[in-house]
Amino acid sequence: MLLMGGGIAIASIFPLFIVFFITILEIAVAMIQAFVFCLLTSLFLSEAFELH
Amino acid sequence: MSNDTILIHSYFDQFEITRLVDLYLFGNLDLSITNSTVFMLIACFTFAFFYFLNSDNGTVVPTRYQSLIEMVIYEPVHSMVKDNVGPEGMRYFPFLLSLFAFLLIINLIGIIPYTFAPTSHGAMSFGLSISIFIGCNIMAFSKFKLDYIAHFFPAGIPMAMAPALVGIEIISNFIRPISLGLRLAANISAGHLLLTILSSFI
Repeated sequence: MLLMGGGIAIASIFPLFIVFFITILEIAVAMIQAFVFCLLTSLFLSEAFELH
Repeated sequence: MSNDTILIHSYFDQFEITRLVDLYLFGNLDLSITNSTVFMLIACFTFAFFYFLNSDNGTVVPTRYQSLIEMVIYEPVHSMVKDNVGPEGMRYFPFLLSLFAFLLIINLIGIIPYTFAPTSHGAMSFGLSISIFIGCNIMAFSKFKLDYIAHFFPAGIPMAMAPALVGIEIISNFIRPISLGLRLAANISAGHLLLTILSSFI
């Protein structure tokens, strides 16, 4: 869109904003997924420690 | 279209694994160094670097890098292990700490453009989860012997429902490592695809 020139080039600011916020979302997802993986691993470990 | 030389590429090019150093042992055991290996090593060295920065045993009032590691990596994992596994499970705290730091750094490095995210591959995250599952089962069976099978029978259920419930519990127990590894790979690869497709609109 940026290379088409004119009004379309100006309109390309909207996808730029969306990509910016999706990047922030992805950073959050990266942290949350690492944490969830460890949380479930600790649940696996806790089952190996005690019988209910 | 004023410019005909726009680079057209596939959205899946970012997940491509390329061999950088060919290394075959015993004929066909493939131990080649790929870009996936390189980025995993970078993650390990980043983690080691942050720990060596404050290897002077730490201070009571933390320095900058020390408080970074304490607040972002140490404290969440410490409270998680203490709440879920209990005090006698604290000897597995180093394992969980390094697992969390490895995944966190590898995921964050993968977001940087023109890098590679090894966790977006099922081979890496699924291999990690299935090895954890096998390790936990070996630990449980060596501790409780065959009593561990009682774990497949939920507490407080009438005995008449046992055959159906034990079957369901066994199936769900084997599905858990699959969902664990698949969740990580699907989340990371979906996010990367979303970013690539959206940035192609700019």
